[in-house]
Amino acid sequence: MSSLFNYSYPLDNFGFGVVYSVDTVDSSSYFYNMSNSYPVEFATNFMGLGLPASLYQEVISLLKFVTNNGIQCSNTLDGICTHPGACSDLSAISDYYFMFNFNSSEPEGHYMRVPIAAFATVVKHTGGDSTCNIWISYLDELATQSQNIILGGMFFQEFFGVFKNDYNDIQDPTQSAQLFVGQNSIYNAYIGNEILPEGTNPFITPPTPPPEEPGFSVVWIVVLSCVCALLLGFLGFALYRWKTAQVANPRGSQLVYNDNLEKATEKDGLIGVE
Amino acid sequence: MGPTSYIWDGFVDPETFIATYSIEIARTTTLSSDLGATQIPSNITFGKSSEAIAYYAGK
Repeated sequence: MSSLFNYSYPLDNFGFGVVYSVDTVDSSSYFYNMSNSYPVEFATNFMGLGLPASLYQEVISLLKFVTNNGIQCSNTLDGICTHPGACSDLSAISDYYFMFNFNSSEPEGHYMRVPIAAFATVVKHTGGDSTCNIWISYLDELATQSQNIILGGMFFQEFFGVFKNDYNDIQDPTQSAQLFVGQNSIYNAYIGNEILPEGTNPFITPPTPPPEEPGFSVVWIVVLSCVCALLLGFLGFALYRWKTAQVANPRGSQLVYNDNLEKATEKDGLIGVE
Repeated sequence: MGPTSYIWDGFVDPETFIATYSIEIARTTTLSSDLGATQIPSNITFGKSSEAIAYYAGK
């Protein structure tokens, strides 16, 4: 591919998204194309991936969404993203990619997927804790060199780049570049033209299922519960009335009526009462 | 890495007026390893890199 006059490489589109795989084979993908597009500049004196401010904001908002706000990103010049804990704790690191679709790619239709993991490093602290640094840097768009997406040295850990400078017109030298997946790539970097079916959009909150309508069984449970409660209440009330009746006349069972008394005195030979 | 840098002066082919260079950088650490360097060498070539290009083109 050929460079622009300032030796940057224009993009048709720049995306951020996820590749779904089944048994380590890519099965589908979903990429969100950024509204802002800038040319790409290769610079080995730069650490990771540099993004002009507006593009940085777009990427960071998506990255925060897919990590449930698990990462912190600095909006200051050269600010990067950090995640408390090991990079391996952050599944987005291994699942998400940047897609570069170069304007002048040859063969036509080839694109490049750069894994986020290519820009991640682990920092070990003395207490044993770790921090995962994601070297996606905020660039000030007012600076001349910050008008481009910068792919720095970490990019060349996953990719192999060949650059050809042509000085036949000494006043206007030109540059072209060839990119290949590196011999030592370990994070599933990709260059090619594979077309994957569109997978689930990871950048929207899945709709919450509507609350279930109370079913027939639920209605019956409620009715039976009410009936049981009424029955228990009635039984309690009856028991209460029986108890209160007993308290009002505690010796009632020992009463001896006149008829019984007469019979008792006759039988036992006692003197009757007139 | 632009061609106007003076670093390329010594690497321009005097016949074709073309300077070719290729870059692949060593990985110092991996996310799953705390052991430091993984002993993967850098692959930086100036001038003729046809062997490297042929290798990658054939992958």
